[in-house]
Amino acid sequence: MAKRAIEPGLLRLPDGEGRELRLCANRCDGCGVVFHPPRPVCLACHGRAMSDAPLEGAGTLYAFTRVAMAMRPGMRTERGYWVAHVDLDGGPRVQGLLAPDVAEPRIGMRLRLGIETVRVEESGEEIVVHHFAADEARA
Amino acid sequence: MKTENIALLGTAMTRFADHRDRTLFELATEAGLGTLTDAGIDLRDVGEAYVGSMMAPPMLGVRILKQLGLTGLPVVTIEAASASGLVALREASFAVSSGRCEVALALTYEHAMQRLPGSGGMTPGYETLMASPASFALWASRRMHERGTKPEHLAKLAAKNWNAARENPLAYHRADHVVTPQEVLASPSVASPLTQMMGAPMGGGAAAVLLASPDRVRRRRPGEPLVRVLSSSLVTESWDPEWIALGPAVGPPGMTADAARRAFEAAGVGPEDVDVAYVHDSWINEELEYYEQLGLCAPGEAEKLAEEGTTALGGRIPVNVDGGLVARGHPIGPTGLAQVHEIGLQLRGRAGRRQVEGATTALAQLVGGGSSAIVCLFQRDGRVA
Ligand SMILES: [Zn+2]
Repeated sequence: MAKRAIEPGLLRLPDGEGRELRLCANRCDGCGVVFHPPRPVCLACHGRAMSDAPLEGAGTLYAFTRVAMAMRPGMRTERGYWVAHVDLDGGPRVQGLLAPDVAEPRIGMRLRLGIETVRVEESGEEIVVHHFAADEARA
Repeated sequence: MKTENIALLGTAMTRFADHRDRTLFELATEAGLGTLTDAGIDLRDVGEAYVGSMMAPPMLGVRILKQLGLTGLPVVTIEAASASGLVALREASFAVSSGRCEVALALTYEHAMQRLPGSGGMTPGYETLMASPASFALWASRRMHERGTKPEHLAKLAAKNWNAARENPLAYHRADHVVTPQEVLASPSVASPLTQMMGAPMGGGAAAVLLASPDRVRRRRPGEPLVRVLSSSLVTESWDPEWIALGPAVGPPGMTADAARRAFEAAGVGPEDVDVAYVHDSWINEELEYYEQLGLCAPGEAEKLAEEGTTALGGRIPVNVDGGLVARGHPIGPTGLAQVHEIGLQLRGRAGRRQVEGATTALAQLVGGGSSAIVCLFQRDGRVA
């Protein structure tokens, strides 16, 4: 079934032709700082020349919390989910979900970008969001 | 920014509570009429009004002001999430100090259970996917990693604020027993390491403040110490490559340091002059962060303040002695003006059993939606014989 990102401008979904999931991002031509999601003006130097630079998502866990309640109505329904700050390789620090199968997060652990469905529309369309899963290969 | 020649003419607040049996109009009217009564004036004496809340629909403030009278005065609505009350105070201060009017009103209100038709709802996008306590819990998680902060530090501060609220008749939580850190730790987890008793209840309420020149206040309140608004500094987030740039995250704790530095500079006083402070403890680990950000202690010493009870009533620098957001309550819009009402009581020596002896200089700080911070400083003139 078709998948759609929870918000436009956030994710590039796998295209089925070998392209992995990536986070939408852009890089300032002037100073090189990378922003996710893309920004119209560089926050560091106020330059306006920005180039598309989607991020392959691997990174390091910076901070985490387990939220005890369920997500908003219509979203993932079981009680309890992890939220993290992750330092992306070559990119900014971002806030996002941890995958449901991350049992014991540790600050400094390696994570890789993944995708999950948080809601299924009546049409059957899946609303997806990225998350970070344990990177077994590099743990 | 310095707020020249401004003093508190009147203050009032409703109790912060669930208020399921009262309307937002009733609450706002009670606070508005209360401050007019406290000042001994009516709406004809008020030149401008700054009103606000976080969730109210368009034009609500103007409609609420009509409850106090129809005098043609300009009414401007302010919205700055949790910081709305102090931002309304700031604009009312400038209305008087700029000479636009002699007396200005700040009035803020909120009722979580009574979002009126047309009030803003959040679209269920990425930013709202993660519950807001998570943002503050992430600060706590990182601090525990870097500083060795323990959940017990957080529990001790939360218990301090719960117990302070036992002496505040207008507080949301009024425990019938001494609250222990163990009780706080045993309450249900919200977002680890934060538990339910470490977070602020919302509910509803209203608070209002009238400002005027010192001369005018002296005429109205002869024999009372004059409480001046010394400065008010409002900042939003500055670019920080270390900080998060996406979505639901709250801004860096350093926003408060930035606002505080500017507020102290403008007022010509320093952190060492502050006798009592009121800070944004919507989650209690914020209070710990702000001790350092406001300069109430050196970086790395906040945990020691918690351990030694330095910020409890009777300590070197009492913080949130009205119960703070955690126990006095945090209906959002009116919270800042509740801080100012409390500061008015403290600096006039009328705070009863929670009085900070000899309090002369006071600080109020709030953070708005994790994206702005405001710090206001207040000082009492010598007692008139
Ligand atoms: Zn740049």
